[in-house]
Amino acid sequence: MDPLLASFIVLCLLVFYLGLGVWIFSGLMLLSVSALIIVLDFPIDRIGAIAKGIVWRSSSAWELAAIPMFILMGELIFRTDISERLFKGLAPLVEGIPGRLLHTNVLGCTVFAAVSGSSTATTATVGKMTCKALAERNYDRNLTVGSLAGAGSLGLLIPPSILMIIYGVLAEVSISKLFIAGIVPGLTIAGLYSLYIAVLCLWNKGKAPPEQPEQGEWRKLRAIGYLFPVVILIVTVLGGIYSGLVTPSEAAAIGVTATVIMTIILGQFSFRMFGTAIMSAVKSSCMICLILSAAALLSSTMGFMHVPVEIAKAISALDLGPYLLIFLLGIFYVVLGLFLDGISITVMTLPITLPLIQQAGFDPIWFGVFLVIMVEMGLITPPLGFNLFVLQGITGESLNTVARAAAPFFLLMALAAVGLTIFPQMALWLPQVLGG
Amino acid sequence: MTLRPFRNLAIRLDRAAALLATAGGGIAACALVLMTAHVVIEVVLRGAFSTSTFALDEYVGYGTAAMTFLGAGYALQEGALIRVNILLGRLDRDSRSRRVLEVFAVVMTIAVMALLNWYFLVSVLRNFSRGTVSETVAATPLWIPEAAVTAGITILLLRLCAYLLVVATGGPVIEDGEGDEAGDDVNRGALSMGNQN
Repeated sequence: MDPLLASFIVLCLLVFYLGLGVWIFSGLMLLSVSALIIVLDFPIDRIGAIAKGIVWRSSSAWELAAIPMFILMGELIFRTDISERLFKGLAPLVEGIPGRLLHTNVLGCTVFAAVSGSSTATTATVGKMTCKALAERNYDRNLTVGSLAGAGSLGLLIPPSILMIIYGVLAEVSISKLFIAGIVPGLTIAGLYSLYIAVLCLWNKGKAPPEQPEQGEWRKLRAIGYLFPVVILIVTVLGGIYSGLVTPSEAAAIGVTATVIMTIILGQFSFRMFGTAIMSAVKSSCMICLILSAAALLSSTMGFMHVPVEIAKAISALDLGPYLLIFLLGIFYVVLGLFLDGISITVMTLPITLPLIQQAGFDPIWFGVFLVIMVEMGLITPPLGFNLFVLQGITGESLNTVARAAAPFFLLMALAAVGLTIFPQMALWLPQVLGG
Repeated sequence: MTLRPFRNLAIRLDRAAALLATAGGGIAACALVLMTAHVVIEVVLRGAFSTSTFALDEYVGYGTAAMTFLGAGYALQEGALIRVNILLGRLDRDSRSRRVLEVFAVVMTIAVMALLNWYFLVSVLRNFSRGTVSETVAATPLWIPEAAVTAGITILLLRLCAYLLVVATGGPVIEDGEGDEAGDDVNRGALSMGNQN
């Protein structure tokens, strides 16, 4: 069968299974099995043997172990008093900047992103405290919610990042290098957000309330005390990876241990808390790892049908030029992000898009960072945007209001993606320097 | 519906399956703790004593596979396994059409997982009778980790069958993130990304 016709059939089946609400992991497996039967006419015992082999190999890949461990670490930290600590610690440090406490959203998310692998967890943890505190002090509601939506999505870009682990495994590139590559773009986006808030607040004084008198000389010093445990965790986890001493999985295991020790020292540890954290981590990790093994099967199926090769040929025949290709891919990912979550998008598209961008001469590490930014944009666009859902839960506002508040930050992120495309060194410089 | 008389039976079976799935989740949690401990021990051995357990990659890999599948039934019943909600979200939770779609999703999932389970079972039996071991220093009999995965898929299948009966006899459908505690709704998102998104 013609590969392009075959890919059309696969696409129809995909929309059919997933659209009707079959779970994503089983939907992708079904898709693979049906495609092998319909398109390639494979006998069922051959399909079964292929499926068993691929599912076993992909689910027992040891790099994947970093995923449940980082999730467990996040679940543990989430159950401590970290939200309060971040707010109390950062508030005195941002008092001099126009838009003052609004920056606790951006900074808080940036700091928390460095111990958390997930954007929604970042948004939820930081927002839990700042949303209420900023509303009490009469800060502009839209700007509060919008900056939280935007900055919270940095959780995926600033390492550790679950999505980067997934990308690293699928694209067979170094996860450590991806973790290093995400730093500069992540900080750039955070900087853009802060700049936007500051300029807006200078322009319109109503966005932030007038300055309140300082309370006590030691506030800034005490602030550092509040932040101390988080800083220790960041140094423990990222320090190990960046110095090249440990692999991401090892850093994750050390991070879990350090978090447990920290909660014991802070007097916040209980077996009940540990139990709920670990069961919660098991749930999320199962979901992700099941999708990954289903995606491995799908990827091989598409390989059998020569779909990636033929699509790559068809697209290179169009002779788009690298920038136009990236632009079209960007549009493609933003559209997908309206309807699908980031993990599903990544696992389903990568077998096709990765050969395309490599053929066009882009570095796969760079593309990993680009893809993460695309997924982050999908997190804050309705109808399906998980960050928006989290904020809906915290603020009780409608999805529309939250989405509109997030819109300027969506545009700033798009701007950053353009910058990253024009200056790929933003992502590639640090990995070269550190050697990863 | 004609199936209504079976509702009590369905509910009882569902409770049993839920217990089994939760036990699977508990074993998965233990696997996660053991994996973490193994990695930490390896790092300590390497850093302080310049030695190794010589089986880290292999065993952590087995642990990940076992955790994934043993926890699958639990993740399903807690509503942690994500799906596209564009159509499902528009339908009333108790409506007939919502129920029909749920039956479709469950039956299709049972079909594909049963296929996978059968070939895992064949592989376990073959590896057991031939005494196949891994090509590593540890030389682990391969049927052991594969049996853990097979057990996990079996639990998931039982969970799905019991759930199918419940839905077909008019019982409630699983909602996303249903099992989360109050104030924990945050993790609904975190799940979806593992957030990880």
